[in-house]
Amino acid sequence: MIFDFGYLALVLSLVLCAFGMAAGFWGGQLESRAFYPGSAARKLGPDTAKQFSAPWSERLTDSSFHSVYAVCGLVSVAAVILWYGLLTDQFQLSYIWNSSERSLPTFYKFAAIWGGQAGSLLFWTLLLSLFSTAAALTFRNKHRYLMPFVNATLLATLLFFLTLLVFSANPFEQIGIVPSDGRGLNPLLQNYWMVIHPVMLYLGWVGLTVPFAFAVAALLSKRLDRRWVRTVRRWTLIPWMFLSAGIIMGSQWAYMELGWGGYWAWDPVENASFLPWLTATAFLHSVIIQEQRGILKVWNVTLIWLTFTLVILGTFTTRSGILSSVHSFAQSPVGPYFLVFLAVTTVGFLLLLYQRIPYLQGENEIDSISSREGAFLANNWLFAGIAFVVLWGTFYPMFSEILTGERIAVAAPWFNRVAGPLFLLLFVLMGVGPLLGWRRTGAKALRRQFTWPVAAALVSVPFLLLTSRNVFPVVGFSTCIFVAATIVQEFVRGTIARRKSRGELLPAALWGLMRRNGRRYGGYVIHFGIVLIGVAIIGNEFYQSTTHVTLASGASVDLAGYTLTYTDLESERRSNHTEIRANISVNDSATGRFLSEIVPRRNIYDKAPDQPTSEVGLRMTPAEDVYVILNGWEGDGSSATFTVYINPLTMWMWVGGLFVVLGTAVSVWPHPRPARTPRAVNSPFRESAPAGQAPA
Amino acid sequence: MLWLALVLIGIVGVVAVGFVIWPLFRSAPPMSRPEGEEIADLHTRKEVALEAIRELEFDHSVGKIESADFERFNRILRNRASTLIAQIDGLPDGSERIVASKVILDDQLEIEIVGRRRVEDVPPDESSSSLREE
Amino acid sequence: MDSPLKTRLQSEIAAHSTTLRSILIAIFLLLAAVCSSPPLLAQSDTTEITADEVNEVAQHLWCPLCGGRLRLDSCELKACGQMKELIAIKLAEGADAESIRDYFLEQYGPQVLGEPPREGFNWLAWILPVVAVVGGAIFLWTRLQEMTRPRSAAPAGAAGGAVDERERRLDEELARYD
Repeated sequence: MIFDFGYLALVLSLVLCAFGMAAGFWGGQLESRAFYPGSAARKLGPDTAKQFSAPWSERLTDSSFHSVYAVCGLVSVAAVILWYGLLTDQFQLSYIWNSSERSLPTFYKFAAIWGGQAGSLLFWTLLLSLFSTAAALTFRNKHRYLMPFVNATLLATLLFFLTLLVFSANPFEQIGIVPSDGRGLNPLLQNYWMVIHPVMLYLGWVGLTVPFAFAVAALLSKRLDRRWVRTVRRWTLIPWMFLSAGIIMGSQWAYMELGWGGYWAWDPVENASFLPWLTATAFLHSVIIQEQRGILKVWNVTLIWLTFTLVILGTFTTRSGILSSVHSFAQSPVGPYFLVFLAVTTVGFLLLLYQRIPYLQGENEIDSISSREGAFLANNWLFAGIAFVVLWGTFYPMFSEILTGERIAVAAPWFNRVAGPLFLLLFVLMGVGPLLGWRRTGAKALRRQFTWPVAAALVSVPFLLLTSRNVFPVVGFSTCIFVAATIVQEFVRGTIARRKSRGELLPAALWGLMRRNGRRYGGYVIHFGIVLIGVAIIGNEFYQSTTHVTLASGASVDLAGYTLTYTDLESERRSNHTEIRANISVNDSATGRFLSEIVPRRNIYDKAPDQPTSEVGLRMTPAEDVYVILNGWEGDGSSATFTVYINPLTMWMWVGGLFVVLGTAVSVWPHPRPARTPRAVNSPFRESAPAGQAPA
Repeated sequence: MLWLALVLIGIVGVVAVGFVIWPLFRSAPPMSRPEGEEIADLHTRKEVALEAIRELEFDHSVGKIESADFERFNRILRNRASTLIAQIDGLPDGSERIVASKVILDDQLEIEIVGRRRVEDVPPDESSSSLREE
Repeated sequence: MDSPLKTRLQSEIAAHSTTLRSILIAIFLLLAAVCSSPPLLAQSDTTEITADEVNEVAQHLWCPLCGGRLRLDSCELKACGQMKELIAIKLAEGADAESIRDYFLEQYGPQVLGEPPREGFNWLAWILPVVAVVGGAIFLWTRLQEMTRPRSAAPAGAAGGAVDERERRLDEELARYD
């Protein structure tokens, strides 16, 4: 009964969603027509126009706000019902039967809502409706021109996902009988990182719909000034942070769980999350140019549309399975829906953009290529280039299968070879960009800015050559050092300048710097995090050592200065699986000193005995990780086979991720807002423009 | 049992639909005036201009902008900011003024800026096309 | 070229949509192998070839069954185990990495390279990104040339009065940004 109710709640929200979307578009249309000179309503004179259409535009707009709230409420009800079903083991629902079981720990029962197709679509819809409500509430009384269109765009996206839920992937579908137990959650998903990682990704993906909605609203209402850009920055940064965190956590999961010694395989599913990250990052940079200089307007709306499209495309590819094989697409019930939605949004957006081109003229010229604008443009070129490369590589197997009939694998070697040099250039630019000022940085200033960082990078080269004869890691590391040096220099010079200008003490000056210029310095903190990630990637990629051995109990193996001794095998019963653990002690080869005990494991799940998962044994230090996979064993554990990796510097990848999150927090932290000047006596602005004009 | 679900969703449906269409039957809601939007836009530009000045001064103080460039850009930026401030200060008080249509404002702004430019012979990079946003 | 095993596994993999699935199968097959027979490589006939020597070759090859997602040395499919055994045998026979690679290329097709072979239609995979990136650079460069204009020397113009009302207002506003 309650599940029928859940389904009907989805149907009802679908109807309200459609209504609210129409109301939003219509209301917005009336609103912008009413106050646009030259339009039909305007010709009646301002007063008549107001009487005629203003009330209706506002009524419709209000109705669209209410629709957002109502849809959010109904979707939340549906999600809560599904959670209730999961937590109380209602296996008559085919979704719950397929992705849960009685003995599943409660934590994973809760997470099982994003463990399968229908549930994860519902979860996605829930998050989108929450984001929409948050945006609607935040901008309730601002941006009166934009908001009806923003609501309508968000509701249109919601409408698509609700259509999927109602017509194609109903999470409340019942089997007709009540099975005694479920089939269990996919064992690979029963891991801490796998629980949190999809949530982060979804928050990022879903959140990026909001800036897209603002872009569409700006285009529709023809209000393409700087305000939507300023508003949208914070609403892009926060989803961007979630997306970054999600990608890093996904790598962490792959590193800990998949057991091939790496963290990133250029897998289509990984690429699907990486693509919108690339375009969103480009957008975050280029939007600053638009704000500062009033140029790149067409490019910015295009970028955010691309980001949105790639989000949908990513969901589509992971949900339809089109990248595993063209044939699985035909079997997927949701695939065609996605394709239609993508086609409609693409055509619709491009038409709209084409119509609005006259409103999107740049306001300024660029003074010099040697300027921050120039660096940002190059940054955008590289991000767009990398996004294209990743997209091309991801879809090439599909193209080749369609066009030639032969499926060609495109894996890490291709991606590394093609995207690698672009990433290197991007890193160089990450160092160069911040050293340039807006408009023009002359030769003298260039020399002053570049001397120290370049020197630091050059000095490092001989030392790096001691570690490797390979040119790639040496160039890579010295680039990282260059970027890190520019960041340090920025902080030092900024603090000194502030200290000089207002005589503050060093810590106070540094604090003031971060507070006052949070956006810029938060960005530097993020850059530093990216440098650390780069360092980890180079370390893991070029300095890894590995061995594959079978050890009898008590035997040991030496690798890269470590001695690993296999002691014994244990097994332990857990709630829904058996854990097989191999105990290994790690000693320093040279001194024989005991370093730590590590325990690679295999979990054999009752519901999927043929899919045992691997949990690596790990000793993580700042210098390097000792990383052991248990490959197999003789019946009683008298001998076992292991793959051992020594992964230098890998820890810095996770530390870098923390810096990225921290930097975003500094960036979005509300700035101390300058109070309005007292001069403006009774300016109408004071009551009509609320305090939300803060730099976003 | 299905009928119970139907009855329940019926009740919820009436409430939800009522909630959504209720604003359609409301009389004259108290909303922010679109004129306020126009001014808010002007204020946003002023803020951008003021921030840009501070940013330029900061970049100059850490040596990213050479002094000659600084002088030039600073003049342009100050010029723009003070024009915007003058615009905002010059707005009639009270909300019952003529709708300050954006286009009209922009025209005034532009004329004024072009006027000032001629006097100061500002280099062509911030040409008369600047500030034309729509 | 298509071994029955390959065909069977491919259809099996195609049925599942994500990598996870194929990895699951990999692990399943590994366990089957581990439980039913002695560890894969450790006790192969060619005793003088170590697993590390095999992996040295295998890490430049890609599992032909996983859609190019796993390197042969870390793939745990049974078929890959057999490929590794074959590498061991060939190494023992004195073959070098190059010839082993060519052998697998012939046996399994370009899938084992992990990248599109540089020939025929597949040149497209390599050329298009270069064309796109270079084309983008040229486009950007020409746009930049258009957008930047040669500047005349900055004249030292003086603003009307010394410190007029406007300047005062501006400084007042600016003070809020300290």
